[in-house]
Amino acid sequence: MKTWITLACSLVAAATFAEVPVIEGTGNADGSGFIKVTVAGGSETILAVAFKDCMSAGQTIALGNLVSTTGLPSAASSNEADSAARLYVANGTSYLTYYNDTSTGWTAYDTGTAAGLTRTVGDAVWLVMPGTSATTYSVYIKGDLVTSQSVTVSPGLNLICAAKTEGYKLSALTVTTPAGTKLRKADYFMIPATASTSAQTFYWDAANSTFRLPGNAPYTTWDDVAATIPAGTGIWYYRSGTNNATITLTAPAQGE
Amino acid sequence: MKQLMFLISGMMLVAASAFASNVENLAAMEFYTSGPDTYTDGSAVIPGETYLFVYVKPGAEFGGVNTQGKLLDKDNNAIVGSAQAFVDSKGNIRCPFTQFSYQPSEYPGTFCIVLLDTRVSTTAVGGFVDAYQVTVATAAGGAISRTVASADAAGNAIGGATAAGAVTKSLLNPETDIPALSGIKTDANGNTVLEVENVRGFGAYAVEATDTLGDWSKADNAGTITNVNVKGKATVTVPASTTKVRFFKVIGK
Repeated sequence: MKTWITLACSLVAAATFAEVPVIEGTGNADGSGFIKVTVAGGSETILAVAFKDCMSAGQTIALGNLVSTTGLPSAASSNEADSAARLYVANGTSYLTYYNDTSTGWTAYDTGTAAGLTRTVGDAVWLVMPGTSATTYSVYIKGDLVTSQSVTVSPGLNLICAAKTEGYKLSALTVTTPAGTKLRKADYFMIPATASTSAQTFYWDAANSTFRLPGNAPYTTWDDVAATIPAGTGIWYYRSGTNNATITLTAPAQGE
Repeated sequence: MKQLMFLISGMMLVAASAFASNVENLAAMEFYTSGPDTYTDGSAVIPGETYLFVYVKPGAEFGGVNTQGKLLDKDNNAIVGSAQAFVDSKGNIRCPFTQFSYQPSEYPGTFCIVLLDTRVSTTAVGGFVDAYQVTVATAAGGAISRTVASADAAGNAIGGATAAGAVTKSLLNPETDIPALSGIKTDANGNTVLEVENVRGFGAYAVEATDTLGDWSKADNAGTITNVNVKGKATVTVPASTTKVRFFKVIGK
């Protein structure tokens, strides 16, 4: 096409181009991805809200986007919800229940509406599976990665997680101003039991400025004995004070 | 520095005199800027910087260039020439007067000047194309000559052309259709179905996947998007992985 176009000016010069072949797709500089969590039938698992919605400006994600329903038991209606995978979301005083509807995916048990509820990175929700341990399932949580994270915990029990994509220790977390001066009445972390580990509770030891298992002598700091929290799962945090506290990550939010 | 977009100086423009070709059945096309040309940060264009002269088919638009300075919409755009910024006798840095002859019946579309930003330092060019700025002009009806020149402060081209106005784009700006993952799903076979937004039908994109976050150098090419039919969105299915975690990133090729 250009062959007949006559170049009449001698000032034209060749362009100089670099050899790098790509334009980075920086919709999310850190990428997007998933964590696969294996759960057994009949089990209860605290799932981490470890991702945000793709292309989201904030750090929230719709429940339906976070937890894939593919391959999970479903039910045709709320009347049969007990036979379906279910999510329980704490709302401060009780739990909102969502079941995996065969047609609409995660659906509010009470209202029958699809799960548009959003969660903030650092939250966690309960996943309750029907059936028995003879069957295992792969649960995918997915979305955009986050590079920093903090969680605000309010007085009482809080479901929280670190948005990490590998297993992590409690030492990856820092609590701003833990409350309580008496062991067992102070703030505490609780790591739920798994198939191979027992539940562990680490109380705030104000005298030694650390969280620790009670009853150990000499006491043991949390990182020595605490179980590794599997990626994609969450933990409890009990806030004993009357005001909120902030929990932040001291390690990169993903990868180690 | 590289993130800065270009701006052909808003203070220029030379009235374009009609240029009648002395070649029968051919018309003339002139490209130039009056200078001094500047980048959007106000700094002067560096001598040696590249201007592309691009033909755009009727009904189409300039589709942009990639980091190599290659056209993204090769079906509707064609580079007819290029020039390098120089210092004129008045000390202005600008695009030189450049002229082509062409057959109007075969090129009824528009022409434009595209100034690339290939700065690698405050004094040198020749690096990646980080941004570009384009001035588009449409042909005056019946004219045998057309002039495409840089825009004035109001964004209007001057000369025998009706300008669409100067458009500034950065390759690092979402406005330039940088692809992004907009959704992740899993199918019944364990495959990951990625939804990609901001793709262009004529673009070529790839999806990288890795099990080691933060080290994209080890990423696999998990899928390619080419000849997207629907401008703006595409899907890529990545085969199931046995790993517990998997990260994805979409890039434009």
